[in-house]
Amino acid sequence: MGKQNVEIHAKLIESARKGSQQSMYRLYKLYVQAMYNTCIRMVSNQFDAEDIIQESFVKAFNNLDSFRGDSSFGSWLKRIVINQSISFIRSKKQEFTDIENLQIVSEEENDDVPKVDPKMIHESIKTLPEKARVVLNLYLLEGYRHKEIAEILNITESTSKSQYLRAKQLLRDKLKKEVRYEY
Amino acid sequence: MNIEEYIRKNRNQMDVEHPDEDYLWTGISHSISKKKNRSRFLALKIAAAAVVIIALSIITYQVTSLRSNQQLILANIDPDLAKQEAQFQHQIKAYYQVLQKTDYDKDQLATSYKDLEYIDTLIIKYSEDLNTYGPNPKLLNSLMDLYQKKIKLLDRMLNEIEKQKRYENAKTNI
Repeated sequence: MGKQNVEIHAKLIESARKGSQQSMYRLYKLYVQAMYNTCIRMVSNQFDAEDIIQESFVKAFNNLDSFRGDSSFGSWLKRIVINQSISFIRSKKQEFTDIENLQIVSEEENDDVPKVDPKMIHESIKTLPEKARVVLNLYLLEGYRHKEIAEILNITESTSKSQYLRAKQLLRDKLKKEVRYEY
Repeated sequence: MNIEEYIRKNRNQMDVEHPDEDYLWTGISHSISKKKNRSRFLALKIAAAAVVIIALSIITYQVTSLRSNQQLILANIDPDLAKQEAQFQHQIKAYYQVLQKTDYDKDQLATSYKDLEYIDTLIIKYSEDLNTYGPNPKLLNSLMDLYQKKIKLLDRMLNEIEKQKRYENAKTNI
């Protein structure tokens, strides 16, 4: 982000902190699409994602005082979105358990992926099983480490890793299949 | 290229979905305004409560100070009237105590409050006159009459509050 953009952001945040709905709206417009895409990849349902996004923005705007600028506003907001998404998934009583009966193929042999449209990857991620999908999103797309994921999801680090390997394998298979259908 | 590298490389092009931004914003702005109104309302409620407490303290103070001065005057004038006045004052004090314990809405009793204030002004004026001009049967009767009016008014106010409470309870039970 350029210096000028950072300054504009800081002004918007300051004015939103004072209660300006216009500034809140401008911040919302800047971030809503990215946040929505992150969220829908986590929960894979349009209506749930819409609810979570609304709750996240309301939470963010109501707690702007706790944003100290240690990270960017976008990262701070994304953390809220991710936490809200995880709370939502947890409320559905999903447990992130170990995978016992899945044969994970060695990565070196089968890790190549065909060149596909990023939109196809996005859509394929949404079709992954919930637990694998959440771990893949957090690790691969949001940059969390397995140790952090284990803490957030209340699972062991090895469960996080095994769910990730499973997600990767399923995603690769899906993408290969999609490409085969396309050509 | 392996799948991790490929996805990381194309990460920025993966935010492909466009939410219904206007619909989402309507919900967000509604929640924000509701919270703002709630805190504004809370502040108003606190301010109103503070005003009521201050007003009641002033009235109680006036009544208490009035009572001691008045008793002195009437005690010198007519011991029987002084006794009666003490009883009135005792009753008024008891009414104020009950009134303070109720969580009433002062706005609904605004007219009664104005009447009370008016009676208090007259009581103060008659007491001063008694002090200045000495015992005057007309003044004394008017003063006793004012005490009785004040008691009746306080009684009516408590009845109104009770009635309102009963109405609210009936509404919640429907």
